[in-house]
Amino acid sequence: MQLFHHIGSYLMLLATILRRPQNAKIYRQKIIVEMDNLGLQSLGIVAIISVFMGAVVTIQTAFNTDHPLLPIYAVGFATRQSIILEFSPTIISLILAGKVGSRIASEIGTMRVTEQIDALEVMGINSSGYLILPKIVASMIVNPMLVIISIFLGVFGGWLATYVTGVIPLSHFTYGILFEFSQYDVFYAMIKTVVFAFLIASISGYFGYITRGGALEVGHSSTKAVVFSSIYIIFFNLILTQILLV
Amino acid sequence: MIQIKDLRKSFEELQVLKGVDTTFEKGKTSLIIGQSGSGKTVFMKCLVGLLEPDEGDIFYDDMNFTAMSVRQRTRVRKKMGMLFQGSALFDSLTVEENVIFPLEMFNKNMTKKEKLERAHFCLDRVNILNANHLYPAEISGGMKKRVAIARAIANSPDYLFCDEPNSGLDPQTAIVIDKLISEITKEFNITTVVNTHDMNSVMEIGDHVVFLYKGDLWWEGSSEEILTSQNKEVEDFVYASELMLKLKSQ
Repeated sequence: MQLFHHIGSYLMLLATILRRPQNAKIYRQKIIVEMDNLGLQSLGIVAIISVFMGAVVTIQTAFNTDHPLLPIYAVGFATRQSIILEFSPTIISLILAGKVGSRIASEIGTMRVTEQIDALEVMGINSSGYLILPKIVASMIVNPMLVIISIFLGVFGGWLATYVTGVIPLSHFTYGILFEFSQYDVFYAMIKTVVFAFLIASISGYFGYITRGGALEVGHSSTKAVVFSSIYIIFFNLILTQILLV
Repeated sequence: MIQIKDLRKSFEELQVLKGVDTTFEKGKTSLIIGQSGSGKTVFMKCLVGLLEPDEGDIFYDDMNFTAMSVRQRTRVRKKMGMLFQGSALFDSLTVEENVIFPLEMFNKNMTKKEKLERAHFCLDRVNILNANHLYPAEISGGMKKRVAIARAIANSPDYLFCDEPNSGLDPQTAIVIDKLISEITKEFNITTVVNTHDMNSVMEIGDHVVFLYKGDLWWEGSSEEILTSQNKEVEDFVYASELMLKLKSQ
C-alpha cells in the first residue's frame, strides 16, 4: 500500500512540476547552475571510474576469452560493447544516483524542514516546479554528456591497460574497438541515460520534497532517494533493453 | 483587511481549530497569542494557505481565499509577505539576492537597477548595512530576521504575517524586531498578523490581540484591555511570569 501511495504522490508532484514556469528567465539561469552542480561537479568521479573500469573490463575479457576459436580482437570489441551498452549508461547512472540523488534529496529536504519551501509557497511560487524542474532538465542535458565522456574514457582505459600490461597486442585491441561499430548502440545508450537522468532527478526531488521533521528525516529521505532511484534504474534498464534492442 | 469566519481544522481525531471568527484591520498589528498547542501556528498556516481548513472562510479584502483556484490564490499570495520563525532565508543566495528574489520572480517590468534600488531601500529600512553580499550562514539570528522582513516587504505587500518573530532572540533585539514590524505596518498601511507568546510583544506592538485557547478564540481586544480581561485563562497566560505579576500588584 505504501508503494502505491508513493507512486500516486510522485505522479501528482510530477503534474505540478511540469506546469508552465512562472519566470522562464529564472528557470533558465537555474538550469545552468544545476548543470554545474549536478554535472560538472560529477566529472571527476565519472572520469576516474570510467578509466579504471575500462581497464579492468579489458584485462578480465582478455583472461577469460583465451580460446583458439575466438579472435584476439574480440577483447577490444567486447570492451567497447560492454562500455557503450551497459557500463557507461547504467553503471554511471547508478553512481550518479548515489552522488547526485542524495545531493538533490538532502538539499530539497533541508529546504523543507527549514521552511524555505513554505516561504516560496507563500510568495506565490510553484515551489516544486521551481526546485525540481531545473534539476530534471539539467540532469537530462548533462548526464548524456557525462556518459559520452565516460565511453571515451572507458575505451581509453582499456587501451591503456592493453598498452601497459600487454595482455593482447595493441593493434588487435584497436582493431576490435573499431570492428562493426554501430551508431545505434550509442543512440540506445543515450536514450537509456536520458530516462535514467529523469528518474534520478525526479525521484530524488520527490523524496526531498515530502520530507517532514528534522535532520534525521533529511538523512532518511536522502537514503530513500538513492535506493529507489537505483531500483528504478535497474527496472527501466530491463524494460528499455527489451524495447530498444530486441 | 482579513476576515475569518468559522475556521475549523482537524488532524484525524484531533480538532485543532474549533471555529475561529475574527477580523484583522488594515494598518494595525494584530497579535495571535496563546499557549503552545493552542492552534496559533495551524491558524496562521491556514491564513496563508499552507494548510487547507476543513471548514470556514478567509476573506482578503472581501475576496474569499478558501474558494479560490490555484491561479487566483497565486495572485493574492503575491500581495503577502511572511516572516518565518527560523527566518527561512534561501541558503544559496546572498542577503541582497534574497531580497531581490521576489522582485525577480514577479516584476518583469522592473529593470535590474530598479530591483537593486528597491532591495537596498528595504535593507536600509531594516537597518542592514554592509551585509548585502554575505550569505545567511554568515550573519546573526537578529540580522536574519531583519533580512527576512526586508524580503517580506520587497514586493510592497498588503498583508504581512510573522510567525514567532522573537523566538531565539535576545530581549534587546526582540524589541528592535517588534518595533520594526509595528513601524512598517503603519508606514506602508499593511494588515499585519503576528503569532507570538511573548507578552513584551503584546504590550509593545499589539493594536489588536486574539487569544486562542485549545483551538477556540477565547478572547480578543486591545493590549490595554488584556491586562484587565477578567478571563481566567487569559489572566493565567498574561500573568504567568513573576515580572507581570509584580507589575499587576503595582
